[in-house]
Amino acid sequence: MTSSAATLADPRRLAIVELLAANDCSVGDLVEHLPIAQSGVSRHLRILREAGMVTSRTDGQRRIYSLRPEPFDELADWLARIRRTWDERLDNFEAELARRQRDGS
Amino acid sequence: MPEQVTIERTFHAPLALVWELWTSADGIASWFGPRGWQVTVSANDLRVGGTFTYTMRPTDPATVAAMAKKGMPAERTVTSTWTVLDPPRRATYVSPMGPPGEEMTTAVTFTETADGVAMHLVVGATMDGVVQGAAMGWRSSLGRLEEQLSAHA
Repeated sequence: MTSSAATLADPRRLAIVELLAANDCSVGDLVEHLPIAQSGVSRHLRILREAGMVTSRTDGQRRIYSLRPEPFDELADWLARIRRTWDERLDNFEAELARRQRDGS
Repeated sequence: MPEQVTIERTFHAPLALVWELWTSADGIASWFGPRGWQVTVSANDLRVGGTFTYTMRPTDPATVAAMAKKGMPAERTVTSTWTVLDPPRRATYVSPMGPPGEEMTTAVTFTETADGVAMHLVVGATMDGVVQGAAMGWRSSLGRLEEQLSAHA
């Protein structure tokens, strides 16, 4: 999740991810919607692919890019872990509050 | 899909006691360990910029053995920094998380209600300066992505 955040720190990569979240795209589709030259789009796609956020398939002559859901699943897992840990802590907190009130300590 | 977790609870106890339990060394030690973990607090400098240090140990010998087998240290010591202290209502601390430079923020607010003390807790990953600018967009893109994924599911 950390590397996802760092990868998306670049606003151009974030823009690419946002477009891919709406639709799978070719490099040409992305260039059409972004103020970035084709070489820049290709470079950012490579970085996104290396970060495991984007994958591609060939469709005839064209290469089509799409998002991989896994990095976003990792984020969801991390959030679920945090919530579980805190639910347990807060159960302890309530028990200790009750104990201290009972014992008057 | 937010990148933070928000938890609300109401405690049926006086605010002063809730605050004491949340911010004192012996208070923290008494409840901070999740299930199966024991916590000791070795230092707590309760002022803005001050730190508290705690060590978590598994209570179950089988867990200790399993972690040793994986080559993982059984104990974990964490030093967090108090960044907001407004007794007895607001406390925030920042903790290191994972890779160097990454941090997690834990912010609590207590409000007295007719029912007791309402706790509002927000736990989230802090974005460093570089990421800050993109954070809003990242949030919205994750929200949209989630819609996409659920539409496909």
